[in-house]
Amino acid sequence: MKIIKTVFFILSGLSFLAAQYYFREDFSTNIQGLAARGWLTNYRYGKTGYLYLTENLSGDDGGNDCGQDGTTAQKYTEQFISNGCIVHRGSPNFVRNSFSGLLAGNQIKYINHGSSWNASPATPVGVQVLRRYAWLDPVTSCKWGGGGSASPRQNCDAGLWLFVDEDPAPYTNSPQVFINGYKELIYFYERAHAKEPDRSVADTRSRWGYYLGANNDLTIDKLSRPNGSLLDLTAARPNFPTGLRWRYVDENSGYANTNTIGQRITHDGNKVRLYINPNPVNQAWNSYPNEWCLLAEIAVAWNSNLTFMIGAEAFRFDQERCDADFDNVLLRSVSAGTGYYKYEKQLNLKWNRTEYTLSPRLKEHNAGIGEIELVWPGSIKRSQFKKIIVFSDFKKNGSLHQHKTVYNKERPDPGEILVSFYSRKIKLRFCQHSDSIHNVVTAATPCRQIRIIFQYKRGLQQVKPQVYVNCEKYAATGYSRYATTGRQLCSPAEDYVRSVP
Amino acid sequence: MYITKWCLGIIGIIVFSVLFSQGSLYYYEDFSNPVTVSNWEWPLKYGLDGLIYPPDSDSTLQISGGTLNMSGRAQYAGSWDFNGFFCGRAARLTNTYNAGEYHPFGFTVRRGQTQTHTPNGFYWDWNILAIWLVQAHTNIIMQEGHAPFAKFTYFYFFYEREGGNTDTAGFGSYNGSWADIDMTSRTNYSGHVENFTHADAPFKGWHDYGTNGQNTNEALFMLTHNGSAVSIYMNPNPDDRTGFTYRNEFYLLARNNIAYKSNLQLMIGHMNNTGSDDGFRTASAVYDDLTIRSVASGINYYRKKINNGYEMVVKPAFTDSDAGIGEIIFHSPCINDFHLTAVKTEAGDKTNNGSIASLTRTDKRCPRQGYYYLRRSEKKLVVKFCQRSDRVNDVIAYNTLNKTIRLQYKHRPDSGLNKTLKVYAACRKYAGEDYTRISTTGPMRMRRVERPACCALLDQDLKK
Repeated sequence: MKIIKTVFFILSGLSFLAAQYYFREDFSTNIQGLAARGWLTNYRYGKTGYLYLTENLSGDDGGNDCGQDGTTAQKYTEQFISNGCIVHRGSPNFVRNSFSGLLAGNQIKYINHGSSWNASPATPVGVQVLRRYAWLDPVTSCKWGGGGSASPRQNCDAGLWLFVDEDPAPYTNSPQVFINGYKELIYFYERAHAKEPDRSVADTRSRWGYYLGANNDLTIDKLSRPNGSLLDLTAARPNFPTGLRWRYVDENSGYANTNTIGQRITHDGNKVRLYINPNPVNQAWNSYPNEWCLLAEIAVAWNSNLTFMIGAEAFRFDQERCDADFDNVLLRSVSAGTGYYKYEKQLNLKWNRTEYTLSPRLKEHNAGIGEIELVWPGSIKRSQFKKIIVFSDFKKNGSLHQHKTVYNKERPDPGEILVSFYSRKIKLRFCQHSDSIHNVVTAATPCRQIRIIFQYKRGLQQVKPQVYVNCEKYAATGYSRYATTGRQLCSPAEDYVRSVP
Repeated sequence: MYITKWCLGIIGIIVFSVLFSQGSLYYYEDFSNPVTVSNWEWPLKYGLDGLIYPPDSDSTLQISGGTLNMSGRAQYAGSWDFNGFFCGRAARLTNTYNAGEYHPFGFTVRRGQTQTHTPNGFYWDWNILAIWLVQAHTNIIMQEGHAPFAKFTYFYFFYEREGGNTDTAGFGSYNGSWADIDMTSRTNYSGHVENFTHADAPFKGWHDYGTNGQNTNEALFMLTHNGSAVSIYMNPNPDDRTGFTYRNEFYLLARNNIAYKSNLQLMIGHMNNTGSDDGFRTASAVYDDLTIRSVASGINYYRKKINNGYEMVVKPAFTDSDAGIGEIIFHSPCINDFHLTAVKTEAGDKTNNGSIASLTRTDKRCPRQGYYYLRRSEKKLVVKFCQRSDRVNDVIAYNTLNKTIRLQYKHRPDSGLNKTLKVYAACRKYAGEDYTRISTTGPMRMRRVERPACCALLDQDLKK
């Protein structure tokens, strides 16, 4: 037994080495400097593909010099760095009516990813960005009332894209060149209309959703928080008069949204998940929790050679602005791979005892293990378990120490393990109070093992749980090095099961 | 004792057959009567941008005159509210289906006269014909009058679209983005490559409509789903028209991986994306004969060692609507090490009498009764039976007295073939053959099972 364990831990460092991701961009340079950091700027990409439209003031404008006579705020698209943000201003679909109806965009695309960003349950990919400012006004002043009634056709959006980076075609910045788009992509957007089809102009608000071959607007009144409870992002709050469904059209008393909003996309190899954090920097006036709340889960058939881009797009030539400022792009894995060893023992006719020993491989930039999930294929009941005990080196002295098991707390304190039961899983959370007060198992932890012992009713023996590790942000936690990828599947070592007759 | 063994064997075969899941698919719609047509919903105001109700439309999408036909536009007459959105009309078959390797789904539909036209001058102006595969929502009502922009989360469609500043329409597949299909080089099942755009081809007219051009060439389109990928096929000459050079066979147009395989529905419709009414615009087409037909209810096989190699014993189950087995496809990266030595079916003695005998190999791609044709390609070996007509064929089907197929073969024990071999059954259309009950689902994988003990007993007895 000891020999097997020893061999396991010697090999664990190698056998569980998996892809890990780390990328951070704080835009602490100028727009020219972004190229050296792996960014392609002023990338004229929208949902309908690559389309480069020039600033042609005398072109086909549908008979209206809309925006060019100083009467409106419409201007041509541009990107620049300001206050540590990548700033998008103006409209990439500009003046030329011939291209109206094609979603023309302007993005910054990360191109320095190599071919290593491949998503799987054991190597999930996840990227998040903070949006500091947005003003998505799809109607120019001269088109409000004078150039046709407000309608859904006037719309624009901004957001975060995740896609398979197969160049659709060699592109050039030649005017009016149109190239079909990426075949495998998802775009997580906030979109504004001049008028929604089933609402009055005055009642029209922005929509959050995703594009997967077509726009899918989503309701945002029941997002899942990390603890499983629901959050309504539509109700009025201080500085959010209409929640996160913003009113942007200035002719309709709209204005810019200056609240910082977080957007995250994760991909576990099979499913893409979209998250909104309504208060990612703990703004004082913002009463929303600083948490990444699940908005949607979408199955996809692609998972390799991934990258992302950020930007905005406009649907028509006569739109005023699709302005957005983005900051703090972050991609951080939980670990570089985590394996586990399982030891099972039959205690008596009713109860079994299982011991999991997790052996994570952790790098400096990994988030570390802040929580563990045991997920069963079917439903479980709390009464099927007793004596859940967790050991880790939370004293940072190279030995494993038993945590105090607690239940029904908002957050565990140092030395505690918070056990939460869900319909199909058990979640075990370590303390994550702050960067200085936490029990997260990181690269700096002297003994990077975690041991979990629990007794369960024998009927459960037939269905083995999958083991995941994660390091998630909760409203009540202040540990800042959390993961952006979502939970990471652990790899089982050779199961060693000994039954006592 | 001897009788007991026989009884056990027969009971075993019955159990073995019953164990097949009830996987037969059959549906046929000739659109002969709009009143009695079952499970269709039309016109659903659905296009790429979801449910939209533009104020003006001259679209007619109806079931009349024995066809499903459509013309006009879902939005027009200067109704600018949804300008730029793809508004559509569609007919939806509300039956739902699941797809998997062992029970693939698919359908064929005949397309008659078509016309798609958009005036030149606008990059963003399209008129489109579409054949859809969607995953039905359980929580979104996809019917007239419900939430605008409501959408199927998961969808795929085959399209012909015309516009974008050209008179020439083109085929394509939409799996998250527009993907036009290069029609200069398409391949059929047997590896034949065809160019559907050469100048003297009558099919050039399919796409070069001009202002008033109509395409009167009929074609069969087939969409299949094997659980992980959707494939689109076209048969350019389903009626063997005189003077046509194209084969009466299906050519692969596109294949796309998709992540959904349950609760599937099909739709046929058209859409356009502008409210403009300047110039002549339409997306019109006539559809007929929508057919869904599986190869079998399910097919199991087991493998046993014989004196000079192995024998694969295939046990299919059919309903009377299934196509039957006209081909067996062996697939493996190690297929070059697979050497077929005998094929035994009910057709071996050319009599449907319950006894199995060997077929003879022939080099003719349309074998006569009692023969089989063998075709080898990269990673594949295809055994094809006679499918000359509904009367003259060796297809193993519901009315075959002994449905067992025995395939004897050899391979090196260390070749890796045993671990990588996948076996499929199909019943596909080939030029020169007129068996009409072809499958619309694509090849169905056979499920390998352990050799039942009762069959082992029966095998022993048969040797006596």
